Amino acid sequence: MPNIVVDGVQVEFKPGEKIIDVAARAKNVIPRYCYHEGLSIVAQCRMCLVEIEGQKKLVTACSTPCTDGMKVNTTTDRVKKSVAGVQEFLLANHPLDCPICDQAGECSLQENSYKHGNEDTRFDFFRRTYIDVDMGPSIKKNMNRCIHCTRCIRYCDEVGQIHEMIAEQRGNNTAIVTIDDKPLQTAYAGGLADVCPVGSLTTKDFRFKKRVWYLKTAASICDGCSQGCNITVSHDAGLIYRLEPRENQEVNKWWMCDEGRYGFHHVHSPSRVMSPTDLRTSEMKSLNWSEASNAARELLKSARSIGLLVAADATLEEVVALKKSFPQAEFFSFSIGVDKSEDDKATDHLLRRKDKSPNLRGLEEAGFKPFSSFDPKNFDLCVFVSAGKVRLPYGIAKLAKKSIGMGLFFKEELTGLNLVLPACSTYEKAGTFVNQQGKKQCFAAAVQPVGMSRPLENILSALSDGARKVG
Amino acid sequence: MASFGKEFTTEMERIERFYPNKQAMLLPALHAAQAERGWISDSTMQDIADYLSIPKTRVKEVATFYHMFHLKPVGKYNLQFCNNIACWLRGSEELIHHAEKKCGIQMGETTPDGNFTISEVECLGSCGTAPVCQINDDYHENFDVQALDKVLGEMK
Ligand code: SF4
Ligand code: SF4
Ligand code: FES
Repeated sequence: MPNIVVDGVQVEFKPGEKIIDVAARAKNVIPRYCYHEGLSIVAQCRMCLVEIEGQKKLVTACSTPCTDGMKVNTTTDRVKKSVAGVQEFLLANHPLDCPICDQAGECSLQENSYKHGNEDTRFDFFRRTYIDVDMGPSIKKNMNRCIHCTRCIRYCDEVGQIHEMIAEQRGNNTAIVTIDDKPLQTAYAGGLADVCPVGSLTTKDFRFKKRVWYLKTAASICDGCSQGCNITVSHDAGLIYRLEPRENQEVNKWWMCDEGRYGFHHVHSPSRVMSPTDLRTSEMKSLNWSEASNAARELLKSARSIGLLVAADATLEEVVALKKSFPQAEFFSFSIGVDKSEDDKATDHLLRRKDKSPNLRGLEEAGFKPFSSFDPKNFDLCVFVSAGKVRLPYGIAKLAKKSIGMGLFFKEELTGLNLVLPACSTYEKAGTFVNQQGKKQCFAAAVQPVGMSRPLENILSALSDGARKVG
Repeated sequence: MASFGKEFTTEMERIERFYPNKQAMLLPALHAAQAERGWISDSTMQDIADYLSIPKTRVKEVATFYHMFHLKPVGKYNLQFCNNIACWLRGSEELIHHAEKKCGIQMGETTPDGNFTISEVECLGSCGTAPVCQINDDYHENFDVQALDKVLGEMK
């Protein structure tokens, strides 16, 4: 393989690769603003200038392809001076309002300022200001902080495939706005906050909720549809604050949709049932776990036939546990959008799928029958498992002779259920989903189960004695 | 969508073979549209976008980038003063003030009768004959107050 030498370190490259990416493999992160792996290259911010031995001018590492034997230096005085100059230039008009900026702590401008910038400003004049436009429900624009890198414009054009962002005017007056100041029309607007290297575009959902340095992260999978986008869950003290895409070239590249991104608020919803609840009498009664297991065992004991309707966001591990606990029962899957995974298809050019559950394929592979063949009246007892975001058909428990709900239920969904055993949502548990491509994807738990909720496996093992006697 | 006149379409058809794609024809299209309609309104941008089958964002970016595209209606005579260094050193400021006084308007404005607009432009590339004023398509070089009075008188 051909190679280049970056600051004395030899790195191999594939023909066509740019210096910036090859250097990154050697843990040498060249500062950048306009460059983003997932977007076209414009080489306009000049932050990534490096020196190549034998070449008179500094070159942009983001747009210069490697050639065999190339010697790249990123720390010469010329490079340092140039990078500090670009940095100073970008800060000339910057409001420096980091204390009230949501990007602080994860801002490229801030980081590069510490690493490559001057301590002082020489700019004594009035700073340029703008009036902000409303960009719709997802994104908040603060144009004063913008550094004109145009990532957002390219993101809209190339990823969202909408041509709604524009650089108006020129030079010092350049304004990055939406065309005719209209709100953005895309299901991927949230990604603008990811690609914007500064605090100019932030999500309204996360704004002012938490300083980012307090956040811990967990690697997870979005449970919003069968794509199974890889995500990072940011949380603190048991609360989830935001979801962001995590790069996976085979599934979601660097992106995720807004529906997925903001689809975690149900976890902490005040109407979520957080303790085992007995609904057999007209009075709703909260139970402790041993009372709850007893109640469940009683219901199971009298049932000669059991049917389980499982929302297709149960993990493979939960499926195994369910099958083990109910060896004689019949299993049905439930998803929104499709009955069987063969009906699943892409609903846009990028990621979103018709099947609004993350693991229908996993359930089918375990032999679950489609929802269309499920009739609650055929069973003495129905167990409704709702393990994540997918909501089971409203009121279906009313059709069952007797029923237990396991998983995530909301107070307004309890009609017809005799007993509710609260279990974890996707982000409160670890597990595996099979996505639309048939890919098995594992994820870690982000937060502790909310309230008295427990992992489904624990609930099942506590009652398995009772269940085995059935049939 | 208002359609363009014959002149615009003939011009576009004439130049099409010189350009690699339709987006590349944006600048000549803006010129031709401005020649036909006097200025580039929002709906003209949309018309150009439709004509070239490109997003309106691409048209607006270019139209707002270049000062020679008028985003508001201009007067019958558009006095475009260069105020860059060479012209400025040679007295463009004084000329501008004089024109403002004569026409009774400020820089960037148009007289109520729609006759004159005064605007400032970047270097007209004629520093050797500074100060320069471009009135519509014509250069007036080595300009001075007397010459300005003269043309203003002729243009009434
Ligand atoms: S808003 Fe952000 S992404 Fe867009 S140009 Fe400005 S700094 Fe770049
Ligand atoms: S496309 Fe599907 S999996 Fe990806 S973020 Fe959106 S809802 Fe989640
Ligand atoms: S990152 Fe290379 S020029 Fe902007």
